[in-house]
Amino acid sequence: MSDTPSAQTARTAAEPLTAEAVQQWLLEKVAHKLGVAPAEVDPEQYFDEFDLDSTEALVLSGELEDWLGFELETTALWYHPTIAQLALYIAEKQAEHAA
Amino acid sequence: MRPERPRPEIVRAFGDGGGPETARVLVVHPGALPAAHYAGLARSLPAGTGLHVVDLEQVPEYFRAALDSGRVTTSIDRLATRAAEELRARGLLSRPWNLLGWSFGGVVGHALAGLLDGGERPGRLVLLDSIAPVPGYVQSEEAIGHDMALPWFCMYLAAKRGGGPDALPAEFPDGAEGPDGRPDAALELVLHAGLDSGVLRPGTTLPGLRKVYDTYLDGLRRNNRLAAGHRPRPAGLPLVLLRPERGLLATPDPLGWSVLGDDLSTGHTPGDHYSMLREPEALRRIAAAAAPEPVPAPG
Repeated sequence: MSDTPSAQTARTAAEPLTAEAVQQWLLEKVAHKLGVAPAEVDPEQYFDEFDLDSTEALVLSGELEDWLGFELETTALWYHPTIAQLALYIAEKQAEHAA
Repeated sequence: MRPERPRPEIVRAFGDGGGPETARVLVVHPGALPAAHYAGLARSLPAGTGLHVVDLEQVPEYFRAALDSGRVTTSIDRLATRAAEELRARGLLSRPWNLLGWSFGGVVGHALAGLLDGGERPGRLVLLDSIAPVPGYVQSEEAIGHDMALPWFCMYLAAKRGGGPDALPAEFPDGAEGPDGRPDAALELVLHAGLDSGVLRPGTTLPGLRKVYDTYLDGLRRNNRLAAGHRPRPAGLPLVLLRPERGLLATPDPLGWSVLGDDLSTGHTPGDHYSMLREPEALRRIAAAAAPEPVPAPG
């Protein structure tokens, strides 16, 4: 199936969802789409400044939700427009739900 | 809150930078495709004719409504008023000019024309496969389902990603909606066709494509809700409707516009609803319909 996560990206429910883990996943995904090393992706850069068109940005958003196992508000990338900000927001949101 | 940063201008100029602008075409663009698509139309216009695009996606209330499951906090009249203010502030509402609107942009353009006084009004309004916001054409919320939207989505995705007309399925003989109400089986077909044709980047997954589709569907529903809440009045100017070979609707009726104007003519272009903004012969016909007549030289 094309939507089966790869071993590299699969996340288990028991795995703690930290901002660092989300940021690392995003860095690797964006790097893969851009064809560069993750170290070359700036987590403080705005999503719309990467060389990804709006279709690619939405694909990334859908794949992130699939990895997280829950839906994000579609406005999440709007209000948290960098990898670092979005990772922090997702970790905080998850912690609130778990509390 | 999102940090403050400069947003792109709502009105963007294309075209004849080489000489004085003696006439202009003003466009209302509803998003979906990038406003940069109009560069080809600008090149197809006669020398001296400028092209300026009002990009509604740069209006936050409109843009956000497509991100928020179709929850709408604006109206067509408010969008038209905003467009008029932006154009007036730039001194662009002076003759000779014609107004052009593609898709939902034609609906906002029609409302805009109705807001302008005599000295500011365009010569005509050219509608590119726009559906009039009148009974019989505004859909119920339930009617905008996957069977209607998915073939349109395939047209959209192929045009946006530079694919040919056969890159993605044009129809889904078994229906686009599965027994669970979701279109995943049909989207799987789109995914494979998109990967095979190069419309989708290698490695794109079904969850990723599903998000693109869901956002597209939210945009359709947003525009339909805006149209449903709108009470259009005849704008009192000539209307020209151009329909592509494969438009959104196959009806021979001029998409409801005969209700809103006595002076309505219809023409045709190659291409589909989205590719008509890129296809060379379609651009030639659109330019011919939209270019204002030259002003006679004094004396």
